[in-house]
Amino acid sequence: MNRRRFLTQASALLGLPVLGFCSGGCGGAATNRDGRLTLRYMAWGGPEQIRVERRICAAFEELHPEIHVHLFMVPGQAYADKLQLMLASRTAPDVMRVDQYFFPALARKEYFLSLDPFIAAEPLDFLEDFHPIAREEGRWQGRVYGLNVLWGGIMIYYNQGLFRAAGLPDPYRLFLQDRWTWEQFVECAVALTRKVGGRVVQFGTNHVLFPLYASVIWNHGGEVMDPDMTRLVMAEDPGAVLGFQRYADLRWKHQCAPSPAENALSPFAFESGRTGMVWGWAGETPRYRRSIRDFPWDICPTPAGPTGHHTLVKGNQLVINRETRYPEAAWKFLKYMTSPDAERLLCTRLRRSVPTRLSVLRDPAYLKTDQPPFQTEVFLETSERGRVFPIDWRYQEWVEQFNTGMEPLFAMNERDARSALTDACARANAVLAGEDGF
Amino acid sequence: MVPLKARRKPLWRRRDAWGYVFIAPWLAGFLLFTAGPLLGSLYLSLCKYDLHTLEWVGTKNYQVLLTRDPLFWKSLVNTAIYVLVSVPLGLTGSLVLALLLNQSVRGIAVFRTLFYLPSLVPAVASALLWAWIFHPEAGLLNYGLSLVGIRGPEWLQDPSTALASLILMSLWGIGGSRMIIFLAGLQGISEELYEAGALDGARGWTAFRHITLPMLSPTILFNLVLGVIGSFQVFTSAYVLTNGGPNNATLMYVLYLYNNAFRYFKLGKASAMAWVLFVILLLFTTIQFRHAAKWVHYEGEAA
Repeated sequence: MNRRRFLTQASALLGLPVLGFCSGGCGGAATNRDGRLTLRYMAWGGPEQIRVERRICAAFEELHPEIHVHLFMVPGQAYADKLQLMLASRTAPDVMRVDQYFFPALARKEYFLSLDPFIAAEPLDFLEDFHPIAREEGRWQGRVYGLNVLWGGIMIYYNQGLFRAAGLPDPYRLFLQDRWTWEQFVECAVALTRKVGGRVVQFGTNHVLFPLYASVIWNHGGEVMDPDMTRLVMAEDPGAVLGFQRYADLRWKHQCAPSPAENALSPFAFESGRTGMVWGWAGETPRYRRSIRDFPWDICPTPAGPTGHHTLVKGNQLVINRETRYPEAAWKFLKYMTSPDAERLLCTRLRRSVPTRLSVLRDPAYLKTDQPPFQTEVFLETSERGRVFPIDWRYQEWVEQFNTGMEPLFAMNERDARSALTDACARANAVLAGEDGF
Repeated sequence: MVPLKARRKPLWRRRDAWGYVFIAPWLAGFLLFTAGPLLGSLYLSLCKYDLHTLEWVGTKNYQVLLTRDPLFWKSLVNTAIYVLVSVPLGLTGSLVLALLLNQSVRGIAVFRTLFYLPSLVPAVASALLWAWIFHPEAGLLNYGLSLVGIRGPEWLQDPSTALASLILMSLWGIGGSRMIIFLAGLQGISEELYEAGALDGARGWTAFRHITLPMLSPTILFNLVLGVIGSFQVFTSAYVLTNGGPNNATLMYVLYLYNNAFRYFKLGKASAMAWVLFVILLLFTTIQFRHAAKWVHYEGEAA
């Protein structure tokens, strides 16, 4: 065989798999379809969420026929990993939704396009219609990188049937009378807890992971971090210590919240009808609407403490990939996704979140509903009393260390709040003080 | 006489040329997807890398791990306990099962299939199944204990029993490939040896002790080496059942490596952990092979 023939045949043989691979996988990420520009948009959510987002995308395409939005949903649990790997490998979509928990860490890596030039080209009062807290969440080091979507606060979902059966006053009425205090909350939770043969068959409330109960700390006068967000201060803050102790007491002293063992595999989920009150985000509503059929339920605010009546609020950011080839189209889409029209669909129909647009929040149509929860004023309440949790770019790591450090208090009942906080804050502060990347 | 200098033919004139062409895809795959990442991770272990910026830091990742990271040591100790307990238990269990399935009884093929079946269940599915078995209130395990008047512990929720629960769960795999390898080893032992032993009065335990075990020792070594390597890499059960908790009681080495790599995006540190694990495994395997000469007997080997 001569050299030329050998090389030709060998190259053809070796080239085939490469060609096959390329035909399946190579090529540009965003392509034109029917002469339209294709914008890729990534998000996560349940079936109801997908339906509504598809409707919003369709409405956007009607307004902008030159743009096609390719929406792809990634399962919630895998979303953060996928997003970060896509951003790192420069294959991320043009527009994406980012949970606030991850936003500072990703904004710090300069993955997102600054929205300031686009906002500057809009009418002067463009940002004025956004709720101030929601607006601030999208900033990183003074620049706007994201506009808030799926915003909302922690509230109490309660089983009205169990309240009536126990002869307890309605918590929302108590709230309206300014009597929805921590003591009242504990009283209701204890009264709702029921034992049969020494075994608890119904709990008054649930136990959630930090920071979902941050309002208990704030409402007892405690603070989480110092103003510069360099260290946790809860261990030396008497208000925080009291708040944590009271929250742990629900489980160990009053025994009205399930222990980790009792709650293994979630037998006391709210849908089961075996828990009187659960702490949850506004976003739980579509799921409860879908799955609860056999008992009446509604919502009320989290209880007030001796020093305040805050609740935790947080949203997701809609951001533009810095590498996008279509920044203008991406901005048009992002602007539409956070517009009052889109918010009306997301917040009023789906009741997935609290509007970030003040015009929607104040719209009487927003409060009207023909399905639970009927006490929709609570959504307004959360936005008025809402407080943001200090989420920095190392949040993921320090909060995990903190929660592990709090396990002797919450999971094992081996320490009191002060002792557990001392250890947990030391662990988290070691992360915060440690050198980045190690 | 002038020595003949053998002149190498060019590649395209040699008979083995097409052989090289046909193995080229595998070779390319090996270099790209195995050797490349291996060397890549060695380089990354000497860098600070968060998927965004790469900075050379020398041996700092190793220094931090060994001197400043208590969770590294916690995960190493947890894993060492897991290896020390689960490997001997697993090997013994697989061997006993193989001995039972090596009997000539009716329907033995059915028994072999039945005992092999659990190992076909995907790891995540079996972990979820075990979550139910370990359930403190409604679990099968505590129900069984309650029948004999024992109040079972909170298996996965109690730091003192969580690691033991994972070890117990690892025994689920005793009927898997390890058992099959033992069974193959047992069937490779010549009947003549047992007949000769029987003439000298060696039956039952004596035959097992002096014929089966020595003849099976190469298989035991093989399973031991693979068992230690596999147990050091335990991940799925800890990830699915406990995620390292409670209070880091089940924080296994590879789970902590995964957390560093894909939750905190400290890929340099995670790569350093991978190389530390490689060194540990190399050390253990070397020790096992060094000691093998004392207890492993190969057929036909001089006594």
